[in-house]
Amino acid sequence: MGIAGRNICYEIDGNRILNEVSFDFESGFIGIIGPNGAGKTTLLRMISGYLKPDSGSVALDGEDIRAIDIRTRARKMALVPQNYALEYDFTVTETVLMGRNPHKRLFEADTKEDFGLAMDAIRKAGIEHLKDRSILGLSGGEWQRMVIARALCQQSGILLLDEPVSSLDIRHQVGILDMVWELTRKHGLIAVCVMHDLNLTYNYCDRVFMMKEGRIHSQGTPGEVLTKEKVQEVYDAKVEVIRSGKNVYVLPAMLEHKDG
Amino acid sequence: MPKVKSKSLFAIILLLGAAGFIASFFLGSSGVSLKEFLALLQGQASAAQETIFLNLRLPRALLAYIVGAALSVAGCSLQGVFKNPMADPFVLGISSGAALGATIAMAAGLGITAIGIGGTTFFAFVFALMAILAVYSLSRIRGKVSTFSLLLSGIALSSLLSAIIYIIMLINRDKMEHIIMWNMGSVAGATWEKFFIVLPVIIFCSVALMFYAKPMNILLHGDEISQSLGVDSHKVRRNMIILTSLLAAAAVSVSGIIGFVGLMIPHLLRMIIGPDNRKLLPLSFFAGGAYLLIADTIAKMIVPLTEIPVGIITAIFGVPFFIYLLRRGRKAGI
Amino acid sequence: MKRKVLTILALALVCALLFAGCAQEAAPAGSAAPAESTAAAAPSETASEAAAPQESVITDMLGREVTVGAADTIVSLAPSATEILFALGVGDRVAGVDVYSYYPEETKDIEVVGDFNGPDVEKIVALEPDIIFCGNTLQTEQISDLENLGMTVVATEAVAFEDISKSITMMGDILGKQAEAQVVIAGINAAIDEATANAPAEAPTVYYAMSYGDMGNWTSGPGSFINTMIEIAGGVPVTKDAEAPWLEYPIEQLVSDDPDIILVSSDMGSVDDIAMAQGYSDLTAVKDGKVYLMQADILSRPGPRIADAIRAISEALNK
Repeated sequence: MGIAGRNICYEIDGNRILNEVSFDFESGFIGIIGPNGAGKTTLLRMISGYLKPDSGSVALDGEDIRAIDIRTRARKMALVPQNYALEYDFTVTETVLMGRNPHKRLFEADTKEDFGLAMDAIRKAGIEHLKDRSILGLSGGEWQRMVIARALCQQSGILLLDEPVSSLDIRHQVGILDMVWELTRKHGLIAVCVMHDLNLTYNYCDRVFMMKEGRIHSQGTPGEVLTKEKVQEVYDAKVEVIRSGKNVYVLPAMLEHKDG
Repeated sequence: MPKVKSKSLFAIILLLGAAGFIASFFLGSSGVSLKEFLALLQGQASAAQETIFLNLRLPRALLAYIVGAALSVAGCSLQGVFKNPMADPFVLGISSGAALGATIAMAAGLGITAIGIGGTTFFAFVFALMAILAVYSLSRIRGKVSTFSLLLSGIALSSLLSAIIYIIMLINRDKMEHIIMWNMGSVAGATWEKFFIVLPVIIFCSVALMFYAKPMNILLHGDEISQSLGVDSHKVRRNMIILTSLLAAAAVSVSGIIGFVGLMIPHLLRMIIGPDNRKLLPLSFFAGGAYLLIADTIAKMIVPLTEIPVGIITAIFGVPFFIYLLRRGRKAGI
Repeated sequence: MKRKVLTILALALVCALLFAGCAQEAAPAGSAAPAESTAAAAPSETASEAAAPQESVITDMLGREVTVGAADTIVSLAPSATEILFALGVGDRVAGVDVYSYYPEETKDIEVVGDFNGPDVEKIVALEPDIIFCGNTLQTEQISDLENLGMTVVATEAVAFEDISKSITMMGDILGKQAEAQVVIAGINAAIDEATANAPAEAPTVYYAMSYGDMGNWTSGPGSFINTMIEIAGGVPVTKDAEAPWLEYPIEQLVSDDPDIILVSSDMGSVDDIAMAQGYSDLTAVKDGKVYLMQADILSRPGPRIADAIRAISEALNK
């Protein structure tokens, strides 16, 4: 079960974005990392079914994702995209309620049950105090929490996240990743998360898939993948893997300063 | 920004529509008014007065209402679909297509009457649909239509069609004035046939579009997110474009190009009632109708002894509104 | 607060509209009067003239078959038709004219029911005309709209020069003024005969400047009345091989044609104005002073004043 990808290839204007990518995402918090242009977001779009691979396929619980209609897909997978902005004056509750759409018919109004689920999600995301606020005034962190609440409303088994915390400050980064992690533990969700920060990746993900130039370079536990050598190979950058007590930190190695 | 309750706004809009209707019914170039109408009710009016009230003023008021409603709903839908405040039937080339069809009919003197529709109306309808299909295929890049490409294609096509219209006008100088007048937009030539032909189309398309209100709200978040929320964005957009172009073509085919209604009314409503399309679409219908009805009444009466095309009145109101909108910027909640 | 403002505005608008609707009652009293006096005049007229035909079917100038009956209250939407009506002596039956019908002078007292926008249908209906005469600018759709309201519409404008007498005859038949029609036609024919007789020995080449300068160099071509009249008067229009009855003429071509005589539309200013215009100032005709002003309306209206037009052209050619 879960998501399985087999030999996915994708090309744009002669550029190979994805080259024979295969994977199995079965459970837990899965991180996809790699330098810019490695194909991470494109891979996520293959998984969600938004893009069609030139060859190869993605299967969800054994079924080809492209063969599943969009509404059913939305019931099985929810997307938390990168922080974006919308210039329309909707309220937080109205936006979160949109997550109920996959479960509703075209003209069906929102029921008490829908409102209940939305409030539930809002509470889980810790934004209850914002429920009637206009989305125009939200901070980055509040926005992402709202989007996660919306994803929760979809009651899907899988959460797809595209760099959900890249543009947020530290407090919100940790807060949101904590929430996602809890969801995988307490509610059995599979979270497939494109990550930007290696340090956060190490500390949150159960499995890591590191991509380079359209291929999966290495996969495994954070400890297996995030080694100095492998990171150097893929990112062409030096990192230090520092252990401090029970914690592990993957940080960029600082350049030698002239004044020592 | 405190939002006005939609129910009270709806009541106000209906009231304005009723007032506009009364004004339009009792005002006209011949001067017949309340006195003559009372005589009519008592069966004591002349045939001419009966004609004026029942065959001239009444269809004109009704036609102005549904044309205004149609343009307004079309504008609202297009703005939702393309997430662009500038989207409206004119920008996307639908109105220009209709205008070209009508111009061809007028120049060729085609007065074919099929079930009472004049040749002009019929040709306008056909060409409007052709125009939107042309724009749609022009703007498809790799099987997907982006907002930018659609609007750009619409503008390019509109310009091309305008140029063709101009050439036709040059060749047919004697008809030039009439063609220009038609392009200004007017409901002065309203007849019962025109009204009954377009009424079902407008009602059907408007109602169908209202069914898409919720997906439209979601569509604002972009294709990828819409799909992740279960909205087949490409199919929804395609269906909405077809419905909207049918709607706008119907309106333009009977009244020429009346601008700014599709742009102004949805925006005004959005400023008052917020961006939820489930409220916006129905309110746009009634507000657009009331607006055009009132504008047409003004057009009829403002300059004595002559008729100003209603398209000019809507432009006079529309342009300052736009300047105001631009200055208010993003705070308008657009 | 916003709600309150909105409600007040809405109520104000409603009141304004209702007030306007009621206030309009004042107008009917004024406009009804002239119509009534015209109607009063008509009955006595009808009694004293030659029998007007009962219902008959005529073919109008657009080839339409129209059933016409009495013609006591007339609306004319074409200036040429208006002129013919007055020439036939039924000017007092005319209750409404279009804005371009300003000849003869009596027309200034008649209600205007149409302009470049088209006919004001409501005003026309209010006059309750028996018959509406229209020209070529009225679109087929507008004609059928009027007919659907119960009006009788007859197109009277001749397109070909030879048809002018046909249209006058037709109108004479409709109005029971056949004798008067023949008189008008005879007048036109007399002018044609005179002009033919006075054709100059050497046929001069002629150019008609309908517009020049910023308005473009528009002129008449074969098929237009003007070209036909020039030929009747013994001239040779430089545009005789052109394709359309109205065309924009390249100024270079005009310079190479170098016509003997130039006729200018009176709408375009004076003879001196064109003499100074770019390209025109070098023409032989301009240098020799053979540029003559032509009264614009009479040249293009297929009515009684065509006779005047022919005479004016003949005069110009013989100077």
